Amino acid sequence: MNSTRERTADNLLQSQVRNLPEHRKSYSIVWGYLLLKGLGLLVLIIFAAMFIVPFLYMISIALRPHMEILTFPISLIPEEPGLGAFKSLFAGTAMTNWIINSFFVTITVALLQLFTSSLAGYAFARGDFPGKDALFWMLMSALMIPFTVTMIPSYILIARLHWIDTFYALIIPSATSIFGTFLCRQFCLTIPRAYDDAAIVDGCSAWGVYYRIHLRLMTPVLATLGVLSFLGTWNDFVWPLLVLQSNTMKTISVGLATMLTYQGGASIRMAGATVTFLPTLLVFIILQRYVIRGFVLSGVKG
Amino acid sequence: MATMQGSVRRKPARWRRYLIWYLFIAPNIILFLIFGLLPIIATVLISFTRWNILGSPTWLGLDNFQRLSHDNEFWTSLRVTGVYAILFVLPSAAVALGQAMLISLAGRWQAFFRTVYFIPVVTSITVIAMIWGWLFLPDDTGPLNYLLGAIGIPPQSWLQSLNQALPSVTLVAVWSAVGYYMVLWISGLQGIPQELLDAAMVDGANVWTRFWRVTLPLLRPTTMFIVVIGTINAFQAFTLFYLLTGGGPLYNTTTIVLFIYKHAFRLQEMGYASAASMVLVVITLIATLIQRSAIGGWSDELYS
Repeated sequence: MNSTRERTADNLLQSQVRNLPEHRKSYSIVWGYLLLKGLGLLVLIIFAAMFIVPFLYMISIALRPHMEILTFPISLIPEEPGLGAFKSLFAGTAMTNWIINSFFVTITVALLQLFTSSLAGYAFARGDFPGKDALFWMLMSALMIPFTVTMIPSYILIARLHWIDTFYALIIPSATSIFGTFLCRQFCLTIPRAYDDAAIVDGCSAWGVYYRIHLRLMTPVLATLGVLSFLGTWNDFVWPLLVLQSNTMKTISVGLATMLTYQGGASIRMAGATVTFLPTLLVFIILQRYVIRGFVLSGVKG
Repeated sequence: MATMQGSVRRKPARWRRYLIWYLFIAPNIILFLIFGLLPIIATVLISFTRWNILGSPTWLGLDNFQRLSHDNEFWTSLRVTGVYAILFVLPSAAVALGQAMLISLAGRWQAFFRTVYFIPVVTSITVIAMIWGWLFLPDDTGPLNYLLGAIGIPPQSWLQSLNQALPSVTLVAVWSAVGYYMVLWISGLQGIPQELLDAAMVDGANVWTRFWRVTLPLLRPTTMFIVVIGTINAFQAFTLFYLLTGGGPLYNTTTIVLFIYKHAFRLQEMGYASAASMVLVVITLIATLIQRSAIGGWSDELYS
């Protein structure tokens, strides 16, 4: 890749040197630049409004108690803000269950994934065992498998295990992360061998080297993986839709979907959406660096 | 004798040393076999059967595929998914590239704009469906219709309209995914050496020329990546359609995955649905290969 890029760059520079255009007035360049910059900023701001205003309205409607029907236009700032819609939400739906379920499943899955991925990533980076590379690439090939292909047999399997409507169905299949394993392996490969050797001299076993050295150094990777896993499980829709049945067992994204046609009024619906939205927003704002990095890297997921 | 004893003793010791590593990767390998490899093989096998999950499967050979080829609903879902992929991939890639390029103008507000554009990406699709279901309200009660009314356009029926439903869902899909493609573009743009753009500018190349002659050619690996990922995601489209239209009106927004979902989990036709997902895999594979040869320059860089 690098060589191609350098070649392109080189050609480009040469052609530029060959056809040097006549001198240009620097004035027009400056004015053109300012004009473009102004227009660009305007577009950025319009886009920002398109992305942020719908969410603001969601929160604004949620803060209006007893709003049954919405007729636009309504003001962005509620005239008499109140938490009545949230009270009705928790009283009238299984939202409390959904939140608890989601936090339980999300945190369990994240911890399991952090453990299994870091351990396997370490093994694939440092282990010495027959079939290491073959097993690793076999795992990586699974990143390319679309969920649709595995969905039906996985469901049948879960049904045969009598795991329908249990959290096993959500937790066990997600207990490992191939992408996480990949990420951890890549990171472990950058840790100097000397650290391992020093620990081994001090009497550490393979587990000891993992637990005392690699796990500690992997913190940034684990943060990336952790937030990605959290957001993924919290927002996951299709699989929980298939395997969860009773209303009190649902996770929040699936539970909220039952409210799409909720008769209790628009502000309660939007209160439900707000409650679903806020944890992911907070995680994203606080751990933004890790989130965006994780999404860019996880592109391999396809 | 002594050497034999030695080798006998050494062998278990070595396997014990391997064992610890196998234990470390065991959860990954076991779950991959059970929920990755096994289901893939099973999908292929089930697609040749009739199976309503409760009983035992009946072997049908290629009957399911034959039935698919005569099924108007399936052909509709192929068309819907194809149209959706076209409406989704290029616009979202283009808008995202625009955002990625413009964002560098924002100086120290860059992080703010990036955050705002990225919020829908980390938001539950249900929340997005809830908000857009409201924005799309038909008649003059809906916010979008109100905005249109302000510039003199009569109210549209959006999701309930035969012709507008698919573009409407696509609009929401683009809105919610564009931030993701933007950060991919940004990381691609960061790989372009600034000296090149400076050099082009000194030579008098205007913004337009610099974009088409310098930036875009150098972004080829990112372009490739975004188009392929976008297409694969488009072919997998389900949740937004399920929540916003349920496939209607009149199957006009029934994607392939919605078709698969309906036949597998509503009608208990596991075999027929599996056959449809086999077709989907083959189509995805073909589309990916065509794009790879058309754009070229698949980069290993993205994997590291």
